[in-house]
Amino acid sequence: MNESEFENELRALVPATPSAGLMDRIARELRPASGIARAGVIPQPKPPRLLSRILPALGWIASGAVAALLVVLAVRAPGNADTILKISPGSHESAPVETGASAAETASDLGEVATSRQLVNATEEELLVNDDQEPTRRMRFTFIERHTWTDPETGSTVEVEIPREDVVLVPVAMQ
Amino acid sequence: MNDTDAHENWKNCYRQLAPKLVLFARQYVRSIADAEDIVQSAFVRFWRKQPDAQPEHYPLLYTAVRTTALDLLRKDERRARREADPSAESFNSEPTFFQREIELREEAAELSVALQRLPESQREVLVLRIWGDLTFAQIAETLGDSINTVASRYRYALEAMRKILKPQEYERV
Repeated sequence: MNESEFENELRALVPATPSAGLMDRIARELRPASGIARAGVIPQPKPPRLLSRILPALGWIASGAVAALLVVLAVRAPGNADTILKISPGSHESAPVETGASAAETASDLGEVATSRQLVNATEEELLVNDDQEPTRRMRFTFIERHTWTDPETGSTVEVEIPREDVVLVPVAMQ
Repeated sequence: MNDTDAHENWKNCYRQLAPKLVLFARQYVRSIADAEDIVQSAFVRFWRKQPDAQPEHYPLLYTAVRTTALDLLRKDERRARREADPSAESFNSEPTFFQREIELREEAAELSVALQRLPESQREVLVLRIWGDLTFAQIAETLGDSINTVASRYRYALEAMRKILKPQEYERV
């Protein structure tokens, strides 16, 4: 038997066919993503990290601060007086709400006379472990923050209420 | 090329090459399940990278299978030791490498055992040449060796296989 005959003899034996499941598994992995649900193992969602838990709350706080800033700018900016949110009458005399340039002049004379914070709700939330591996309790405080401006000439007031939410991590040992 | 064309392409490639790729992968691992896992991983990676692959690119699949197999063995040294230990898992405990029609069953089993007795470097070349239908140049590229090295390993492998499978021919000489 020469080499070529022996090679042919070897070639006569055909490699075994893989299991039917192999093609299915490959098909699942290569399936076009558009419009077809992918089968397989659904990864377990990881618990959110501490920072990502706090960030949404920080968003609330930031949005409150931005709202307050916008209100102040709206009150003080010339020509934007008609954006004043709420003007309540003074203690003894009422003043009409003015818009336009005259209101701007009035608004520019307003002086902030009071700021208050009213606690609306306090919630104890889950226990967390901070970066120093110390147990902490997440507390969520909801406030209504009120800013009041008064026009000394007319006695009219501008009052703005801003919802705020603070999230504080309190060490458990201190509770 | 759209998704449907790509889908048909890999299926045609699979039908043509899957048995050969699994046979090649089995040179590195002892179980068919492991060999199929290797082929799955290599095949998917190849087609994701080259959704427009044409038949002339198919030899690269052998490279992908070899790389995947060697990565697997490197990653799991315990597994590699187990694979290297012939007593740990008998080759014959798994179905043979080859299809076993009744009249060829004995030959298929003998050939599978004979292949296992070859040094790995010779076995790779033999499998790629005989059952993978690759040229020496393609084998050299797949294995990262020179064509001369591959060709001589092939000759040694054939000679060794003949000694194992046809000892009577050597006794006569």
